[in-house]
Formats: sequence, structure tokens, C-alpha cells
Amino acid sequence: MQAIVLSMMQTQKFKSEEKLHHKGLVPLVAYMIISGHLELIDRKGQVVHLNAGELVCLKETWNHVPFQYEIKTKPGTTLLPLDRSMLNRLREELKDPIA
Amino acid sequence: MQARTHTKLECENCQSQLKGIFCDLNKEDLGSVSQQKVTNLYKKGQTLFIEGNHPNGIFCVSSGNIKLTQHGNDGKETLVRIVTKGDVLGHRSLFSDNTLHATATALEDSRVCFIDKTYIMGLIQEQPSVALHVIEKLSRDMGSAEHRLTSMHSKNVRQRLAELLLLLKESHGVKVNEGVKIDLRLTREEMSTMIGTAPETLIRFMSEFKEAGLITQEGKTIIIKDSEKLLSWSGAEI
Repeated sequence: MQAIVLSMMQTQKFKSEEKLHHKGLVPLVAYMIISGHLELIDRKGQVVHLNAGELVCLKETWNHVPFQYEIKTKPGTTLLPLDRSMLNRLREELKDPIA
Repeated sequence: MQARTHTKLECENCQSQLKGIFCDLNKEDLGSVSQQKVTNLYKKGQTLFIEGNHPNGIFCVSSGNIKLTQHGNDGKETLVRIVTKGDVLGHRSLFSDNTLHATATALEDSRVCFIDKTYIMGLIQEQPSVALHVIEKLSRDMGSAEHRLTSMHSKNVRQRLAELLLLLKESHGVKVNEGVKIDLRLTREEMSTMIGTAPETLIRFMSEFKEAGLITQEGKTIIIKDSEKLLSWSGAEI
């Protein structure tokens, strides 16, 4: 599994605070936080912090459903994107759907 | 309400299909693209991607208009290009393995599909027609960029404005009683960066064009009344 992820994807480092996702849209990719933090902001403006080792948007990317939070990167955050092709490959390899 | 923003759009039924890079694919392959892609309805002002980030795939515009902008060191925003239905975004950075060279923002509510890098790379290897259409798009982009560069050097602001209005007429023109309406609402700042001048200069020349009967304007809506005269003002060789 590790080999599949590493062969297909590469990490991305964000130098500044950026909006990664607009709430209510289907995420383009899921992200694993390698280092740094992400902020998830809900419709009421409440903020949830995610740290290294956590995953975001995996279920939504896998199932093609909207993610109801806005996502912001904090400066210096490194993420590993996980796209639908990679998730499909994992699904085939593991033959045991997550959702 | 939510369903409106992410309704899955079948490539087969997409109004932009005939203009897109997948137009030669058979029904089965189009079905596969439909399964793979992510479709979203971006509201006016929402960003699709940000300059300097890594591309995760390509974007295919199904409806609406998207502006591509670059930020200079002085913080000024330059409008590089406007893309519309059937156009593809992010392909140049994806294939050159560079970071994204511009920020893409919806100028109006726009339906855009996203296809991830792994899938599009596989599709290009399997389907030469897709690769040919991508090459065609890249060549056309390069041609436009070269033309624009030449225009910046060899034409004055009046000629560049006339040329821009003709280009917008070609890409976004809608016939109305009075002439051809440019179905795109651009700010003065956006238009002025497209021809490399200051907004004040643009306003001055727009007034001149209106007085000469070439165009009329209602708010941000421009109607082209005399295309032939505009063509001669653009300095184009006929």
C-alpha cells in the first residue's frame, strides 16, 4: 500500500495560508497531513484544527460527495494528496471498501 | 441546494464536449472519464486553484467563464486569459511538472470538471486522440501568447483595445439588435491589464470608441456596433 501511494503521489508544501477547499464542493483530492496544520471551518465559522498524521476529505473523495467545511492551510504545512485514481487502485488492491 | 453544486455531469451530455479534448472518445471511454472526474459548480469569485501550488490534475470547463490571473512582485494582478466552456485548465503545469503559473477564479457561476493527474496521464498513453487535442490546445495557447507579445510591442493602446474587443467578440459575442454583445462582465482593471495599460488610459480610449460609434456600453456590458471599423482600428492586415 505504501509503495502504491509513494509511486503515484508526491508531497506538496504550502508556504502561506491558502484556501484549499470551498465548503459544499466535492473535494478534488483527499489530503494526508505530513507536517503542519489545517483549519476546517464550518458554516457557523467554528474552527477545527487538524495536525500531522490526520486525513481530510478521504470519505468524500472516495464517494464523490461534498465536504461541508472550508479548508485552510497554515504556512509551512506539507500535505500528501490522495487522488481518486490512487484511491481506486487501493480499493482494487485491498478489495475491501472503506465506506 | 447542495445537489446543485455537485451534480455529476456525464461527458456524453456536456455542452462543451465537441470543443474539448475528449471529443473523439467513444461512448465507453467517455463513460469512464465521467466515472473518474469530479464535477463542481463554482460560485462567482471562488478559486479553482492558486498560483504556485502543485497541479493535481486538469480542469475542464463545462459552462461559465474562468479568469486566469498572475500576481506580480508589486502585488498587482494581471489578467492572463479568460477561459470558457470546452477549455482546459492546468494542463501546461501538469505536463511540464511545474507549479501552477496562475490563479483560476470563477467570473460567474461556472460548472467545472476535474480529472486527476494519474488518470489523465494513463488516458493520454492509451488514447492518442486525447494527446493530439492537448497538443492542439497547447499550440493554440502558444500562438496566442506569441501574438499577444508581438501586439504589446508593435501596437499602440488604441490598436490593442480594438484587438481585445474583437477577440472578446469572437469568444463571448452574442448577437443582439444593436450589434454583438460581449457576454462577459469585466472590470476596467481587468480589461486594462489584458492590454497592458492603466485603467485611466483604458477609460479614455473606451470613450473615444463610443464617440466614434464603434461600441456602446451599459455598465460593464459592451456592445460592438461596428466590427469592420474596429478591425481597421486594430491595425490588423486585411
